[in-house]
Amino acid sequence: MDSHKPFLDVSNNRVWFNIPGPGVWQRKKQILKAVDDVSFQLREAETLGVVGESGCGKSTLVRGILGLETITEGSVKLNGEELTTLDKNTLRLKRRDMQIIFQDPLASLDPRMTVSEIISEPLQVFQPSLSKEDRKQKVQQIMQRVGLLPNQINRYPHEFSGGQAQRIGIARALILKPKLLVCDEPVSALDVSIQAQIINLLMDLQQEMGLSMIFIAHDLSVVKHISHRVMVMYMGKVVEMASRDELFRHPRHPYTKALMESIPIPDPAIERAKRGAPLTGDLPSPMDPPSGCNFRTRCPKAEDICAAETPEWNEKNPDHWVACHFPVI
Amino acid sequence: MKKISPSEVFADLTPRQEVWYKLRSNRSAMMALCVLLLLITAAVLAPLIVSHDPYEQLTDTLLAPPYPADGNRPGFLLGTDDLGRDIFSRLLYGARYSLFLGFAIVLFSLVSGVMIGSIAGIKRGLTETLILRLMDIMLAVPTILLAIVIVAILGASLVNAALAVSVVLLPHFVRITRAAVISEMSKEYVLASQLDGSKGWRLFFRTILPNISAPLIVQATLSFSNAILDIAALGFLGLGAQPPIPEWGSLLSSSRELIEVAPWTVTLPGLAILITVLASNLLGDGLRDALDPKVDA
Repeated sequence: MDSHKPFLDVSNNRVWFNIPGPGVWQRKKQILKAVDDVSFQLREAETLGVVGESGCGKSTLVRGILGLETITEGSVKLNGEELTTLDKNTLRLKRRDMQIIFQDPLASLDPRMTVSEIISEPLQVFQPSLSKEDRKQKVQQIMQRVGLLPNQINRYPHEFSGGQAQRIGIARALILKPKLLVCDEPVSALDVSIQAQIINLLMDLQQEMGLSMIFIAHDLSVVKHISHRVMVMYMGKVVEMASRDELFRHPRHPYTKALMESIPIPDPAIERAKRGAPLTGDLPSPMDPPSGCNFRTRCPKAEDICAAETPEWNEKNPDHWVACHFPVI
Repeated sequence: MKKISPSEVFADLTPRQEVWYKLRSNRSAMMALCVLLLLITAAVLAPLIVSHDPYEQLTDTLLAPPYPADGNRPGFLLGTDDLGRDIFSRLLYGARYSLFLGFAIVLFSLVSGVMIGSIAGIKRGLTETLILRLMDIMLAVPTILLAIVIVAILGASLVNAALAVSVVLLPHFVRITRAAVISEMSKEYVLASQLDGSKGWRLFFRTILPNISAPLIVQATLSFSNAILDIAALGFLGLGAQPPIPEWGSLLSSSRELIEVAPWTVTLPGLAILITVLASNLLGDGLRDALDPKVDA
């Protein structure tokens, strides 16, 4: 993997929102740092898993990359080309290389369009010269590839189950043969048995098409199955990043470790004998984050230095990065 | 036993066939459609159907009662009015005015309302506030009063009355469009469509407009009946169609004082208005159900 050049290069990415404060007359602007100083590289044909609690900035990060949120600071390079400085229209055309699959499959499909209209919409915009027959043929091909039946072509989204609807979403995202596919919790709205089908489909498609994927999830077992590398986020910051096997075997950051231990094991004896205390406390308010290390208020190993200094982003092992003053050995 | 779900029934139908299928199974809507089609055909073919000129005054047949009643004169199916004009002809020619004006008024209100409403919904901010407050002011004045004011300024004529009625109906379309556009814009499929490269007019007409069409269609049919009613009301007040134009509202007002002598001269135009309004409302309801993909027949 290391021989691959970075396909997507995100550096010092910040997405900050101005939030109007309470009160009508004296509105004090507050800043919500949804994504704060995030850097990572994605290689070609690689899947990067992104995990973290709700509200940790996972979705905002990828929306920033796709240009759906305004990036306050930082750079996003796709194949060496800077995206943040592009004007709207150029970025719009660039998006044929970057597609997204949404969390709620039904909400992301236009209820008034048939399956064929939904899947062929990108073709109509980006390849308007394509004849009707060619377009139909392409739609049928991709439908077959993602496991939809040919006679479903004229149906409406509400006639499909969640898993089938997600297949439609995948077909729409892949019909232009993009290079980057962002999956924003694509399976968390689905039944477990359907989850496996969709994940296996995504993995097959990735191999076939050489896709680079960013896969967001809060379910660690899903991420473990599909990712090559995993990035752990906490309150807008990346706390740890490593290859999948390394991260799951040797989590270095206390937060990652706590996450790993929160995976339920289907054996009560082991489950009860789990070492390590579960995380206590709630996520601090993102409007008023703790000083120093964001995680110190819930960290079992926190000391004075954690409040005073923000931990640096260090490569503790080859290709294993972590931001912590006291990483687990 | 296997139960066939509606979606299986529809599986081989194209979307348009499906809407037609659902509409056909709605009996009252189909009856309303038939009545409206009959009315439209009759109005269009009026010169071929009627036996008398609607403006011709036959002094020997004043106030002849309609067909089954005693004293009915052959050839005057619905009787005559106080000037000896054939009421059947006048009603059919009146249908031309009422139906055409109804369509024209609704079309004008709908198109301009959707345009103004979507500008408000997409631009937001100050533009939205200004548009909405203006519409609120228009809504705050009773509709017929506002129409009277507009006609009083422009002068009493059928065209000015139509203009006044379409302005009166406008705020409803603006508000409905704005609310629907805002709620649709926040949905994920609009974002998905934007990511697929749609923008501007394509995004609006292909993605947003079809999804807000249901409330607009319902409002359009309601407005169609309102328009006919309002035009009739203005005609009744002498602010719309001027005699001898056989517009339904002015037919009502000109024969108002005859209600005891010759009740049919008042009742028949009233019935014509009632039937048209009822039919368009029923059809609107049926269309709403048929166009909603979430409602199975």
